Amino acid sequence: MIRAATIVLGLLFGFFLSRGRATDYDAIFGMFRLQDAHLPLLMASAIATAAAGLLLLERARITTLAGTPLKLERKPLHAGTVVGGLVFGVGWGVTGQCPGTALGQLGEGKWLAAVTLFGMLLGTWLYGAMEPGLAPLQRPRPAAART
Amino acid sequence: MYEAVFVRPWPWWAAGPGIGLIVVALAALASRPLSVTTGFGSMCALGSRLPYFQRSEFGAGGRWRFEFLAAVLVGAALSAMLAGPWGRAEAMGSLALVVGRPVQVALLLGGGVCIGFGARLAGGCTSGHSIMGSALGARSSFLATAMFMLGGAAAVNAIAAVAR
Repeated sequence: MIRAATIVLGLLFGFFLSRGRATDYDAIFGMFRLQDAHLPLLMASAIATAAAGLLLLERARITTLAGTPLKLERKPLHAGTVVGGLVFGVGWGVTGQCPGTALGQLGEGKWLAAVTLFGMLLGTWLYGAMEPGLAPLQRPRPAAART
Repeated sequence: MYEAVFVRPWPWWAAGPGIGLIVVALAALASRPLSVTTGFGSMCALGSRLPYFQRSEFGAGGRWRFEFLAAVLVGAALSAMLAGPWGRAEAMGSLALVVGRPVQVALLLGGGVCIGFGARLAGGCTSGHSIMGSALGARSSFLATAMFMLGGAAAVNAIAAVAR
């Protein structure tokens, strides 16, 4: 049941990303050139809707289908958030894709997205190889320990 | 009706809240966060002995993302098939008219490496940080999203200055 729900929601996520032109290079380009408000508004309305729904779920203290109480984790804040965020942003701008939309583009027949996906795997592995040296960047600083 | 739903692109006020509801349903039904890039770590974990990939988030408990990611790909494929005849298309939109294939491949490969590396360092991507994390009100996710936007704007405006 949980498995089926996850797959159906994944199908819908890909479908909505594609219908909403999040997989359209020119829409991403227009967003970063401050010429097209479509994607910023799409993202903002997605966040607002999710925020309202998640707040209600947390307030209601629901039990999920998994039989456990809902536990949503906030990601920690550290120097890596800034450095990694900038590096990710450059990749997002250069390719016009993020990990979810790269998969979507490949599904749509934009076959060169396979190159991006390969690069993402490579970048993930590269981080894993360099992680012992980069670990200090992910150490929460006392003043910023709370997320 | 069919035109508006399956052929024409959706306005932001249909696709955005729709994606928001997916996030809520994923939490309520599966107790799972919207998360994409951690799945790439799980893929690396299948073939790597590096200590980093032995973390529990990339192990058996994270493998549900394989099915989720495959479903995202299929969902977008359905969207393209219902909209018209499915076929090969350009990944880089109108930039593909200006920039040759080898440069496109280099940009996509280099950009992909930045995405994979940056997401692991920042602790998430546009799904996990920008949508999921921001919706939870996490300060780290607001900051990460601001940095994503800053890096993206710098890259796109650099490309625009060179290519046009």
